[in-house]
Amino acid sequence: MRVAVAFGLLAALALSTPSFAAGEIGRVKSVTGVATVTRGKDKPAQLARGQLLRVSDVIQTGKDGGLGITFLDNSRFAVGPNTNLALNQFEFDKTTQRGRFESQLNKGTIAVVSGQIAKEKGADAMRVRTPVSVLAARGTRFVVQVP
Amino acid sequence: MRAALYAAAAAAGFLVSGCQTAKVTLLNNEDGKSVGAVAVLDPKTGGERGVVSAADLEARTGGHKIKPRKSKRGGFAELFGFMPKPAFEGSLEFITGTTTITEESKLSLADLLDLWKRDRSISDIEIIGYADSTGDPESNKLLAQQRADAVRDFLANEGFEFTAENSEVIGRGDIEALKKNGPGVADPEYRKVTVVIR
Repeated sequence: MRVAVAFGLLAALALSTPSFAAGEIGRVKSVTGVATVTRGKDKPAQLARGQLLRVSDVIQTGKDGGLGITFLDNSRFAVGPNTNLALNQFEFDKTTQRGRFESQLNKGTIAVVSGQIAKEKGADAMRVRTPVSVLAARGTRFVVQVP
Repeated sequence: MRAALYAAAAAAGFLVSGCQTAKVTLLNNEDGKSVGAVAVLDPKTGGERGVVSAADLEARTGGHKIKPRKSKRGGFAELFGFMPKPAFEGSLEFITGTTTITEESKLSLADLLDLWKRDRSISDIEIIGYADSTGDPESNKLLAQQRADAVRDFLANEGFEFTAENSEVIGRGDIEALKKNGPGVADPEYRKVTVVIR
């Protein structure tokens, strides 16, 4: 069992990117007004420019809030006001340039410029989940609105 | 526990908050010409409800089948005001067997420096070294790493702080070159360091 765990750890280390701290998937490039992140059981915390984001972070903007995010696969999000966005899944292998990216727009508006992950043909590897649908980006720029 | 309850309540709130809809609007890519596509899938079955594949079309995504139509709304200028700039991707060429960059690439290095100076507090940088397939893989791996290190050292000398959080500096050796050319082929395409700043 211990051996299996050790192997698991080794595999995880081998898969993770070598020097970006584990779990960090993107960076906040700009923030306007109220924009918070809820991480695990922590209380919502105001986001700041330059802050790193992780899988499972939930972003909430206020009525005058907004932010820009750049992800490790070079995809980019603009998050509008009154928006609730969860970063459900993000995996990216820099060597193969493949991965999986699922975010979940519960409410509000986001604009998306897809990056490397969406370039894999036939994979629908970059997805935005809404309360009524799943949107698969196929190398593109689009806006999603959930009233 | 309480946080989990709040999260569950919030999720439930979203689920029952009346008539749920979601709209997608496809836009031109940033080059202003090309356009990709967005497929609308059923969240339960994964089945395709349709594809939006022309610019400035919008579609409600809740029904069994989508009906894209001309978007009434403008260009979302305010929203795109939040959109970060594209990542910068550059390539620096090296002289065979050395960690010396070519004269041409010195100019690119200067550009790189300017770019990062503008935005360094919030930038990530990736520096990846390569080698062509002349010589043996072991020394090529080393050479590729030394090339990446040389670029890092140059930027570090200019005052940039490389941390585990903001940077990745790796040598990939001749793997890519071997794949394309086989062993023993001199190819400037692979005597390089690629740099991504995002």
